Amino acid sequence: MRLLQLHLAAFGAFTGKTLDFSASPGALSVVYGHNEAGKSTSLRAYEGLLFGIDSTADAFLHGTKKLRVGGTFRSDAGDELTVFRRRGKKDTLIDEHDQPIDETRLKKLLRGVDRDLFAALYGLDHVRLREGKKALFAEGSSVAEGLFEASLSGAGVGQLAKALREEADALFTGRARKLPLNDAITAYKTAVSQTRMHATSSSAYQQQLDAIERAKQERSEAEEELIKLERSRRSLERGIRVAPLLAQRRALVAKKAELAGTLAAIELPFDAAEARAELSELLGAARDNPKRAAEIASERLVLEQIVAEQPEGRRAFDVANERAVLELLSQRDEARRALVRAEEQAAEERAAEAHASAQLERVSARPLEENERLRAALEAAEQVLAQKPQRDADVARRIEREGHARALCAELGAVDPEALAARSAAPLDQVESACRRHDAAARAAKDEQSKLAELERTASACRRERDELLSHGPSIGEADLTTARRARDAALDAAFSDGSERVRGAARERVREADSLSDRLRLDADRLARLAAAERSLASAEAAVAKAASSRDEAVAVVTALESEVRRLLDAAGGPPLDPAATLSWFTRRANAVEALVVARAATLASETIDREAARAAAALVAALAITAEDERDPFARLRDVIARGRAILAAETSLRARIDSLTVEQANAGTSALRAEMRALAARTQLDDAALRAGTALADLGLARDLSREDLLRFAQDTRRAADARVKLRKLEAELQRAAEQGERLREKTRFIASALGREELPVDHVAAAELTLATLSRVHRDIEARRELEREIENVTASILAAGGNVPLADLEREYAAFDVDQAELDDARLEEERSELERKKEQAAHQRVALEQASAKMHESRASEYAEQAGLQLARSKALALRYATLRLGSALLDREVEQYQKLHQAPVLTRAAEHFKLLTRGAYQDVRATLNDDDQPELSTLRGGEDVGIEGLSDGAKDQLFLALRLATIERHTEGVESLPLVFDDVLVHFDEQRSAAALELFASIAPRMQVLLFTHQERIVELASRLGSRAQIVTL
Amino acid sequence: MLIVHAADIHLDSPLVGLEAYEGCPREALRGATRRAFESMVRVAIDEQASLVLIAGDLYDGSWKDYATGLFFVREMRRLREAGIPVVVLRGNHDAESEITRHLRMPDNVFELPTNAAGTKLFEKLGVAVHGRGFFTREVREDLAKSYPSPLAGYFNIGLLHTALEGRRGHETYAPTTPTVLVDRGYDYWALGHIHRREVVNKNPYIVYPGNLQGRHVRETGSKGCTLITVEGGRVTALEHRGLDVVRWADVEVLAEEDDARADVIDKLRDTLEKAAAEGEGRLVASRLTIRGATRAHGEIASALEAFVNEARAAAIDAGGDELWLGDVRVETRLPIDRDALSASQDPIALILRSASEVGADPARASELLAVLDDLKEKLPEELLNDPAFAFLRDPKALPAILEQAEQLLLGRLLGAGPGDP
Repeated sequence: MRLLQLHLAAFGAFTGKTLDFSASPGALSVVYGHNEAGKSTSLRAYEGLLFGIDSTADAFLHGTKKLRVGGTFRSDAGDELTVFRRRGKKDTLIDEHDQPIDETRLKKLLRGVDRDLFAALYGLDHVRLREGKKALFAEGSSVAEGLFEASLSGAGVGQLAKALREEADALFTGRARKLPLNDAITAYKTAVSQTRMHATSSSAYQQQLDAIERAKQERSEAEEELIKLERSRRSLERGIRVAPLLAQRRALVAKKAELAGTLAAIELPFDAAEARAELSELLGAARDNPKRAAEIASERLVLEQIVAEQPEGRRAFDVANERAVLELLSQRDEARRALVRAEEQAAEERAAEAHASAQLERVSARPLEENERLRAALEAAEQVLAQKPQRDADVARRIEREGHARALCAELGAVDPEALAARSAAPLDQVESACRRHDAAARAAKDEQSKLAELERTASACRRERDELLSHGPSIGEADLTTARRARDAALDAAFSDGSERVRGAARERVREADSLSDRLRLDADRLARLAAAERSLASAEAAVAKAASSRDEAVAVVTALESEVRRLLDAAGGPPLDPAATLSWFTRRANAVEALVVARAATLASETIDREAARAAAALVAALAITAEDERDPFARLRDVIARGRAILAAETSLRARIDSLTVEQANAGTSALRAEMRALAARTQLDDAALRAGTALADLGLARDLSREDLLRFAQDTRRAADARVKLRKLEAELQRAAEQGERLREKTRFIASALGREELPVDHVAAAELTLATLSRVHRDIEARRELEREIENVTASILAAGGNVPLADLEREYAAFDVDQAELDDARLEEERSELERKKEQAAHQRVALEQASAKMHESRASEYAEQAGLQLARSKALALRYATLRLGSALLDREVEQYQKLHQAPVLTRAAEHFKLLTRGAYQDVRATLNDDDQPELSTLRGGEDVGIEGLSDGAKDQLFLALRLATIERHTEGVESLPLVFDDVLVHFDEQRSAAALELFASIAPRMQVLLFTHQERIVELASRLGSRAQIVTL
Repeated sequence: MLIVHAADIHLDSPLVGLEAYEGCPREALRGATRRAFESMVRVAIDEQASLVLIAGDLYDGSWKDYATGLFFVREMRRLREAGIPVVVLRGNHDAESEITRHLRMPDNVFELPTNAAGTKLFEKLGVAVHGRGFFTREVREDLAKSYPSPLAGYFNIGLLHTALEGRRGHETYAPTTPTVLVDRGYDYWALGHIHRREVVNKNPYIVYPGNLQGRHVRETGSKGCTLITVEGGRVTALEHRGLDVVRWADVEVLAEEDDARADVIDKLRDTLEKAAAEGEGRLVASRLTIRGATRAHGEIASALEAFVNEARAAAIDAGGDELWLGDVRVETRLPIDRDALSASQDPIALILRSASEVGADPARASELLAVLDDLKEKLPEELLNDPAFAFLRDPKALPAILEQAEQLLLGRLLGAGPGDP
């Protein structure tokens, strides 16, 4: 495939630039551009054309959307394809009309090569040349790697293979432990092992449950043993406690048996202590009775005297009676006082009533109806009087408006406002609209005029720029340059064939002229582009001037028409001739004058109406008052006077009416109060009669006078109470005498009863002596019985102690059990049992601990961490998998690369080295004759060459020779790879920048020699390269940027 | 009446295929199957379910930790306290499980027999549950045919662990057909064994509830149990209740030809954000595959580890604690025409040809595989048996990984630029 043309349609600084290689497609194509001329841009454009524009860096002039680069390609079969490329994501391959083209048409030519592959296989620049050389001659690099390296334009094959191995070894080795994959596998296996270890098997769990059961059983057995032992111990300990008590009890029982047949054995039918106390008490009373009987007899005589002094008929009077009668007497006295107060008040009220009647008879007033009529007339007249300020305001407004209208008329030049108002005029809105439209049209016309002036200035500037560019004289064309180049070539040919100084000088002159023309052509291209732009700007500006002049004329015509319209309106209203701006003001003042006149007329009408109403109201009020009043000129002054007189009469009438009302009320109130007081006196009298009757009846019932006073009644009550107290005391003395007699009888009976129980039948006659004798006997018997009972209590206490110590076992059982109990022996046995108990307690405790431990272990089985470790194993397995796959990919990639390098060597080494030797010889102008692989001291093949018949190793080459050797190998590999297939153009970017002139010329010769088979595009910014290339004649073509 | 239908609990079965990395939400993963099961029990209690059905595979067959069984018993006791009976059936995993053999269940748990089909009657509920469990791991007979006839006056449920006619990724155990099940005349078929939820038939309902918790990346989407509402002797509502603690997502990003590395990262971040959102608040465990012929391949292949780390950082950015980016598969390639390039003699063509030639030649393949002998020796048995490592056992499986190696080489050779492999 060959590139015939590269169209830099809109790319970077280029616009419509075409690099044309079609003239000599089989020649070496040198693309020359000095620094900043766009060499790198055109390389990017070429790459963008083939694979897509992937940057906006070249859109600074045309913008992203307009970026365009195109090319015309010809396949080896002769088919041509012209395509363009725009920037974007889809359908970026287009034709010259921006219509999408199927990408596969271009891809077919590219044979599957993409951007990166293109750079590796078909590209070379001075950087890659240096890197490739470095890799090729790196220590440890094999010949095969070197060739591989050269074939891929310095992709760093050797370093890659090493890097892949190192990356793989950084993940895993067979012996390592801490590398990531080794670590992950170990962690996985550990987690699996932990999972197994922490997993609870069902049998283990069952064993655990069985062990818990066994521990429970052991504990239970120990507890049973303990219970038995405890029982034995309790029996022993009870014996130790009970046996001494049993012996004590037996001794007490024997002592009690000895009391049989004595007084102590008597069983009294009563409690001896109580009987003794009772007898003693009765005996003491009986001894005191004679003295107390004498005292009572004396006291009785005094009391009976007091009772005898009490009159018979008054016995019914008691405390309750006293209170009731006293209350009745109080009510009677109170009713009497109330009657007196009521009668006094009634007399006072009757006197007040008489006074009010006398005053009323002395006053009189006008009829009420007349007063009401007067009040209505006054209110109507006052309403009319309230309109006085409004009437005054109307009069003032009329005067002010009439003055204003006259002043405006004077300004407008009219004498009579009425005449001005009578003339019809257009509405103010219509006039205002016409005036505003006129103003707008005038402003538009002015704007159009300004715009026109600005455009004329722009056109003038464009004209000056064009003239300036034209003043530089005529431009040269491609034909001039071709002529100059031909002259240069002829001169060079002549110089090569002749060789004289003159001819070489002429040739140099021709070369300089051709270069000069080339430079001028490049400079003129820019000038012409600017001239074309200036011409375009001028045409555009002139068209704009013509358009603006037309717009201005249209605006002026509109202004004229509107001025006529305004003038017509003014004539119709009778106005003087004015310009449109003053017209609106004239119409506005005219309208104000007419409006003021209308307002003045309305004010006159309103004030006259109010005056008439005032006159009518005054007349009506004079009639209502029945007075005479002067008919004053000012109706409001007369009205105000009549209203004042009417108001005075009405005020006097109102005052008089109030006085009559007040007296009437006083009279009525006094009569009512007097009546109420008389009623209260009547009621008081009735109450007094009733109270006097009840009090008299009560006194009569007591046998007292009906009109007895309260003080007499109190004295009578005191006497009655004293007699009653004496009777009560008498009754108490009689009861005391009775009780003494009864006590004497009870003493006799008690004495007989006790003596009988003690077995004493004969007693002294005197009951006091008999009682004293019986009491002495009873005291002795009581003492003996108490001694016996004390013995019995001791037996009971010991028995209770025995039962308590014996654990409430029946006494008889204890007697039987411990009949022959040996306490000393029992204490020895108890110590032995204590030891046995400790041992059993220890066993029980041990079983309990074991059970707790087993249950805790069992609980832990519930909370097994096996699943946690299984999760950990899963994570590590996943990690191992990812790392292992990565390791495998790296190792296989590395192995594959090693294999391919080896394969490449087998397939291509010999032909590539043979071809590279030819290239190297040409590049070094025959200084080196061969490139071959020889074995070094380590029997490893390495590259070497021949110089002057001697082997020269790589290390013996100069830096420049190494560059040449890499270039030779690179070209040889490319030729080898493209044998039998269609090659893409080779693109060399300033690849000879480090080559001196001789080597550059040799390289150009080499490039030209392979160009017929595969297109070679050499981009350079070096003028010397162009000069050297031009020496190749038709075998090279120079395309300048 | 509400019945909870669950299956394939696989208690304590670890989640497979997740690789831990810095910042991954590791704690959220712990005990996922247990927590999902606890959620199911909580749902049954909260919703006042009348009955819980578990259609097999309570445990993983190879799992021997008796604590797992004890956990199950504890949860069953919770249901007993709530007065909810449970009917369970042994699946293929339970048949070989040692846990199943020794565990003593609470009295609210009724296990259907394995030697013949049996029926558990719930008189008060008016429900008859028929079924037969697996007596051995591999049951190849149609168990459904031996199920008893429906009982009149009862809501008849068939509990069955089956693959029906077969389902991808599951052994065809207890094979049967929907027609056989429909012909049996039951009101509801509660199936188990298939981990993806599926309503096979609607009259009567034949339902796989799916497993409670997805265990690997092929078990994507919401996982949980089915709530069956029965009124008047017929199913009136069927509801899937999501219970999974971790939700799996298998996401793929397509790198286009003109995409740069940064574009690919942006795309995968967007994709992961969507995946995280689909977790509905749960942790999403995802596998990310990046495919496509793209210019970015070279840059990605040159620094694969850095790219994977960046993808994980993007995952943290996209999902925070709610997203776990597990396996990251980079399957990009250069946008080249292999066939066209293979015709040349250049090194790239050689590499392209070599990968396929070696794959086709067992002798060469074995020779090449020798570089992985150390790996083969050290790899755990589980990975050696993993399909991803089939090439270690069978050279015929080599081309797949060789293609990855080939793309690695091309990416490094062409994508890295001079002096920077």
